[in-house]
Amino acid sequence: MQTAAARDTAHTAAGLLQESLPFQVPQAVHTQDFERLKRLIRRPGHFQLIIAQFNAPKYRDTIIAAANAAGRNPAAVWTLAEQPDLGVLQTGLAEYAATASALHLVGLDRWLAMEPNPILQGHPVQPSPILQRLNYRRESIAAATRFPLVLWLAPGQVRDLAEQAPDLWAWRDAVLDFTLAPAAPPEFDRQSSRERSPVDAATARDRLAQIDTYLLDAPAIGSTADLLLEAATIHDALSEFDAAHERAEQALERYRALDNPRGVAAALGVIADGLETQGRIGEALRIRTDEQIPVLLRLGDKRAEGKALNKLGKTYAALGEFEKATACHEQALTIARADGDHLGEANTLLAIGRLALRTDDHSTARDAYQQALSLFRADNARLGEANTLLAIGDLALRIDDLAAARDAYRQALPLFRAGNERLGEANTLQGQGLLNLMEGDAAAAFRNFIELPTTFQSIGDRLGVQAVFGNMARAAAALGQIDRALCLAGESLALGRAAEDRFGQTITLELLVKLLQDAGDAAGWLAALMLYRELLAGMGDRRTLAQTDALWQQVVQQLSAAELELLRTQAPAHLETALAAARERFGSGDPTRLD
Amino acid sequence: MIEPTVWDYRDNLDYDLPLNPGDPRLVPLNDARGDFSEHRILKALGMDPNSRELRKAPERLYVLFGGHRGCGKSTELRRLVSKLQGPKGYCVVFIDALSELDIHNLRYSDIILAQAKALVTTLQAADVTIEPVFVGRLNDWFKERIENHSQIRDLAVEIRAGAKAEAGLPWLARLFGELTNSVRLNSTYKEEVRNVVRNSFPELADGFNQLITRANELLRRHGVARGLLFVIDGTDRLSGEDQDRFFVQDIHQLKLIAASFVYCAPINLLTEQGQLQQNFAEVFRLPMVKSGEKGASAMNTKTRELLREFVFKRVPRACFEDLETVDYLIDHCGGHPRDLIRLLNYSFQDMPGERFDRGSAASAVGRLATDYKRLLEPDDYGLLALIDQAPPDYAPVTPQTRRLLYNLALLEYNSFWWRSHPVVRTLTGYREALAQLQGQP
Repeated sequence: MQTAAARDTAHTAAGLLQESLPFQVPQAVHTQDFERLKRLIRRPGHFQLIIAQFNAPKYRDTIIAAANAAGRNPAAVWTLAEQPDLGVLQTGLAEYAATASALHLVGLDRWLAMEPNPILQGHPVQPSPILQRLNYRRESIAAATRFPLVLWLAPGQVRDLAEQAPDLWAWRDAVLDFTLAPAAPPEFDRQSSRERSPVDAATARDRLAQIDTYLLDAPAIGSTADLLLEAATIHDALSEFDAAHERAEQALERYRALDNPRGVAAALGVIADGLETQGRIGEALRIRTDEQIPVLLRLGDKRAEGKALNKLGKTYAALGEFEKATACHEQALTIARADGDHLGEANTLLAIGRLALRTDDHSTARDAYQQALSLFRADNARLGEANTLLAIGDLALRIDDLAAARDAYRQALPLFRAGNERLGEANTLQGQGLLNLMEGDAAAAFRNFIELPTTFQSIGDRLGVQAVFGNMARAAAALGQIDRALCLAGESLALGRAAEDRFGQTITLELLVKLLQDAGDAAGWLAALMLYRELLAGMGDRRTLAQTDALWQQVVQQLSAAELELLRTQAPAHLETALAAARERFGSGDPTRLD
Repeated sequence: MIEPTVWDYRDNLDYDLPLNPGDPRLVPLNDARGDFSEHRILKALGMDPNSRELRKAPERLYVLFGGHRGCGKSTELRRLVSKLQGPKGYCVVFIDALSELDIHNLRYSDIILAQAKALVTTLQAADVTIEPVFVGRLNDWFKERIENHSQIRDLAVEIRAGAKAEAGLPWLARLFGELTNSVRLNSTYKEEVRNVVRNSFPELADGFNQLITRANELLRRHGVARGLLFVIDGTDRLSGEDQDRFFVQDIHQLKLIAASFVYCAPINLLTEQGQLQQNFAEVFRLPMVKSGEKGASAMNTKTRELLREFVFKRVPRACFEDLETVDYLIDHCGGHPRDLIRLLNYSFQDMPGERFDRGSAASAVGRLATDYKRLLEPDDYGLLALIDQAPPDYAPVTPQTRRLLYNLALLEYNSFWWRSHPVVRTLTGYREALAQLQGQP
């Protein structure tokens, strides 16, 4: 029992709802759309356009197989060739019309992804020739296709279809959503992929003081812009996002005044990084696509462009737009390879692996990590090697290969320690703690986490402290110590609020929903659920929000509008009351120390 | 007054020393090299060749300056530096990798450390003082990455102890001086220092860039120069794998440093198209002194005059038995200045009396030919003969021709045509291959 609980804790990304509804095909959140799909493809004889949105090819294939298994006349599946050819598309559809009762058209997403990405090319948005042609030919397609046609597209492509092929879009019979939520513990992903941290918070603060003193009466010249940018990166590493943002904006202003495009791009990158870390993904995306990348394209600095594309890929992944994320990383990989930049190639492969991990494409992740590891080792780049081993450990953890996870973490740890890379060391120890949790040894996991808040504090990483408190809460819950877990999760939430880290807060609120449910605190549970949904809505994370819809509908059915409104205003207080009650029940002990 | 003898010119036969501008032995050979243009380099670096003013300093520029070993690159580079340097031009940070570093085992990490050391030394020499805040980042890099590193902590202690109370530029001069020494000498710390530099390179580069930006501002403010330029000589001596690693694979790290650089490169690397051209904004070749067009039987008169002057500025005319001996040596040097001095040196060693005679010159040619013979594979002769017989545009870039170019058995002249070294053509293997090619028994 304990093992199952521990595994859930380590595995789930969406948290409560996915834990209560174990992974299956279709996932619970897709049940209604899956039923609609089955019904729709059983109506042969006339043209029906069904648009299915997906972001994980393996999951798409499993959905198609499951839908076909459920009916007597399985729908045909046509996987388009690698290279776009619209002529073939039209004749092929006519051929299928002679034999098939319905058709899943797979691969159009790939064709669309191959079209030049206007954002990446630095041009204003141009209409997609493929979508335009489909729109123009819609009548002949409909005439030739007298059966249900399921178009499988990536999320962003569905929007493009609506905007750029409006007449075809108007003929749609259904738009179904089969996108997967990120599957990893997201705060752990974020921590693992952070690049640099100060070795020592005290040294970093001394440096900030030195810079601030100098800047008091320094002129607005290039060297002071550099200092402002450095101060911004230090504040960012210390999780002081407001200060980081302010300094980066000041640097940006000076670089612009000095007509220094490289500085402008660097400052924009720091601003976007900070926003993304805080969960302000949309703003980060806008800055990267509308401002930073166009500057880099004009500069022609391929290396910086590749690096920025990898960051953009990470941003798209955070939005669940995995196709676009993949396109960014692949373009970065092409640049690095064409340039013979082995380290750039290795870093891009690492990013590709992380993305594949998020979409549960484990074999792609494994291949990418192995290639990255070889390149880093060939270059004797130990930090890169250690980061890749850490990523391999995380992958192994995800696929339950606990021995491999242990081995990878064991190799990564001394490399981080030898280089005095304390962030990497702390993240590896966190990974080992999660491994213990999965092995059912929650006490060992807790012991693994115990020293980490101090380590993260020493390097000024408040987000690290926040994440580790969350993991300690999970370990405590697995030990059956719900009040301790609530105390720790409450600490984690407070840290997230202090840092104005909305992303981190969603993770903790998700955990609190589960813990308060386990604690039987109905008012607290409802308050946590409401705050969780409000935060997701505020961040624009509609996908994760949708995962709570079914549960929320049950709540709404039982409450009047007035009661709901009252709950909305009182939710913060209710949650505080629930956490205070847990602290009182727990007593005066230190929740971070096991008795 | 005692008449000078040939022994008094012995030191002038040292072929490993580049000449500084103003050296009386210097002979401008550029007019005999073909299309080499100093103006183009100056302009690429933002200098007006006429006024010698830096009109538009590039924000960052990576330039390759290449040619055959011994073709006069180092001497030309020094001449170039003298033209670039000055209050209206550049503050040139010159690094001679041959003396500063271990050229037989060189990594980009070593070059970065040497560049930092040279910049600091140059600033000190120019009496430029940098505020502590611009030294702080490099200091933190040392604290976090060197002092906290278990395997090189002792080195850090030694550096700190030696520095006593030094701060600012003197401290950086010591820091980078000691670190450069540790990678130049085969010290216990060599590999670990390199690893630390490699693994913390973005931090080191950021700190270095901050220093460079401030140095640029202060150099301008104090009227020392209008820009900063790093010139790295000696990197053309990197061999095989080392040169590929340095100029192709690791160049992306070197390019993180935000300044302008001129790197010396070996000729065989310049034949690589593609990546090298992408990685360096400008590639300049210093061709060999050209005796004439490919296939011409006699040497161009002007070239011969220049090379005679080149010889006579090192050894007076009176030390030669006759002018034919001088011309015989010139005809066998292939337009390669260092080989011409080498031939003189060999000839000096072999001559029976006090004057260079035809016999010792022939012996010198034979010895130089034997030097090359040691570097040649049996199937090289056929290829060399083929290239010599082919039209000028026949210049196949292959691993074999790259090796022959690197070894100087094959020489590249302006307009990118190739010919074998004249002494190689005296070897039996070459003669047989040529006869076979011409269909002779």
